[in-house]
Amino acid sequence: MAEIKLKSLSKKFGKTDALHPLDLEIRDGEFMTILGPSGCGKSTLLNLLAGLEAPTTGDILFDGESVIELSPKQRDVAFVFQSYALYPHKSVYDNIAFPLAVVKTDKKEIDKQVHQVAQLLEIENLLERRPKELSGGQRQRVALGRAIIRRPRVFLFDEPLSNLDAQLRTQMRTELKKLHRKLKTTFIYVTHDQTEAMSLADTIAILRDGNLLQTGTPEKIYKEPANMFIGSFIGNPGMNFVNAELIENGAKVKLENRIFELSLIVGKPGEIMAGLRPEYIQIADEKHPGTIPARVEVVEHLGSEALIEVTTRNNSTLIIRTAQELDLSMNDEISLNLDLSKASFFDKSTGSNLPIGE
Amino acid sequence: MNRWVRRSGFYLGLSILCFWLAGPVIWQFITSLKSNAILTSLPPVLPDKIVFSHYTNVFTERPFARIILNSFIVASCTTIYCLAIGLLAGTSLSILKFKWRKTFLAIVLSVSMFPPIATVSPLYLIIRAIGLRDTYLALIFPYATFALPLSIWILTNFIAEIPSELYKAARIDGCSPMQALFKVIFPLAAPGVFTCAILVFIFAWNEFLYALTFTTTTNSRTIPVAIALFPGLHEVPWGEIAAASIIVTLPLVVLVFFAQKRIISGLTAGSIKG
Repeated sequence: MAEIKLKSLSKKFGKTDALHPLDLEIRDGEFMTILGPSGCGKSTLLNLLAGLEAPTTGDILFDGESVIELSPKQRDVAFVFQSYALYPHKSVYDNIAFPLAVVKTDKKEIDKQVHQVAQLLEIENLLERRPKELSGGQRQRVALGRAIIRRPRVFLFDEPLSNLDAQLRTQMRTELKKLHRKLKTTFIYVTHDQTEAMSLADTIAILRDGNLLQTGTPEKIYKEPANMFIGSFIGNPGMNFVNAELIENGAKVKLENRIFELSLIVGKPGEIMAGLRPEYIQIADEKHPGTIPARVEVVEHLGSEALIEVTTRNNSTLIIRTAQELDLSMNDEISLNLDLSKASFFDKSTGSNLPIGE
Repeated sequence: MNRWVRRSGFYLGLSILCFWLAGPVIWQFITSLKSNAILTSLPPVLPDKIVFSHYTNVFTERPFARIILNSFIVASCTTIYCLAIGLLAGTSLSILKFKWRKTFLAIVLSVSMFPPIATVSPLYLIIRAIGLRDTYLALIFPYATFALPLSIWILTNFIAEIPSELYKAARIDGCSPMQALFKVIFPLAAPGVFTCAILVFIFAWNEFLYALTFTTTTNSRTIPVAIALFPGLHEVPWGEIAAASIIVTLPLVVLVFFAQKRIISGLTAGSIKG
């Protein structure tokens, strides 16, 4: 169990910055997901936490004590690799027992604990097998078993589910969540899959090009993305962006030739971007003032809901998520109701979320 | 019909190839069992009576047991030395991704490119100067100089095939760097280790030029040199030469059969998603 603090931690490989100085706090027992596209520095961050690489600057504190000088062994962390990294020359039993065997634990004690862990992960019948005789999901469980058996202070996961097929991934996701609840240990989970991050995490930290962009609960990140990148990266499909203009000291916004009154002052008047989640746009029953005309481009039926791609008069493309039963086809003219009270507004040049002013 | 022709053609080709490869050995073997009277008869005849005296003579009239021991010690020490250094160097070269890695490997390999005949005279002077002449070390060091680059090259490539996550996983699981090598990396490199061991051992077992130059007595003389020195002033003991050749080939055959079982490819399958 550990509370983790990163203080202006950074990493350079040669002249390239893999990680710009970042500060991050992870509460004891928290499920923290580090989310970002590939090459954003998230695996580097994990390697720094594990002690597999040394940071260029900064400090890592476990429960207030610096662990920078400690080896992976002394840090007492467990690591679950994307590739599982099972020892191919050892049986499942010996793979799980390995962390205990290295520190010369009593054989009976090892045996007891291996069986406990195997029971927890439902792999008792596989103990005598070799990794190559296992399926992907089974290997994943063995890798988890090897991590769990040490009762580490922190679990580090490096995209552990990305090698599994879709159905198994969903199942393992649920099991990881249950496991976290059972163990009550700090989990740090790196992924590029926003669905995984949203469904698992207590807190998400979003990383891009080695910069920490935003941390917060999945809900907060979904509703109040710090910038346009996060808005489009989180959510499936991502946020819609529409050109808009703030007028009258930022209390009104002009969008698609209509003026909307806002309940809050968003920022200084001028050109901005409005961000709308696909579910904040409704298809209006009839044309009335305030609705926006649009033409249907694509309709995707997903069973419980449908995704509709439309183009507005100003040539903005919007994707709408709706549960309404609608009979729409390409080139149909429809009207849209925009719920701007839930919209986010972004600076057009920097892409960052506009502060709400007085 | 056509199938039978093709099949018999295949086996005919196979037989010719086998005879081509094994012929000289078979000839040696037959020669080693001939009595002195028919040894040099032309055309060669098959012995009507099998004689084992050449085999016993090799050990009773010559210090051949000592010679075999010499060769065994020199070849084993060279192999162990090359494997020890080769494994450590191979691990660093494949796991630690440092700059100039490729250049370093190329330089290492270039060491073994000098022809032995070009280095034998300076080496002789050095070995005489430091008083190593006619010792095991006089052979082990030069042999290792030639075999080590090859070992490093082979082992680097074998270890590079082992996913680096396994090393990381071992470190996380509580191993020191050395423990990670001995418990995880080296067992997985076993096929490479055996391949390398066979090659180095055979090289050291068969080497002639250095052995001829750096040894003077039975204290350190190795098999190829000893056999070459069998001929006396008035006779060439073909029977004993043949017997000795057959005797010293056996350990290599045994070694290869023993190691072959351990060169199991695909040992690493299953650690990483496959």
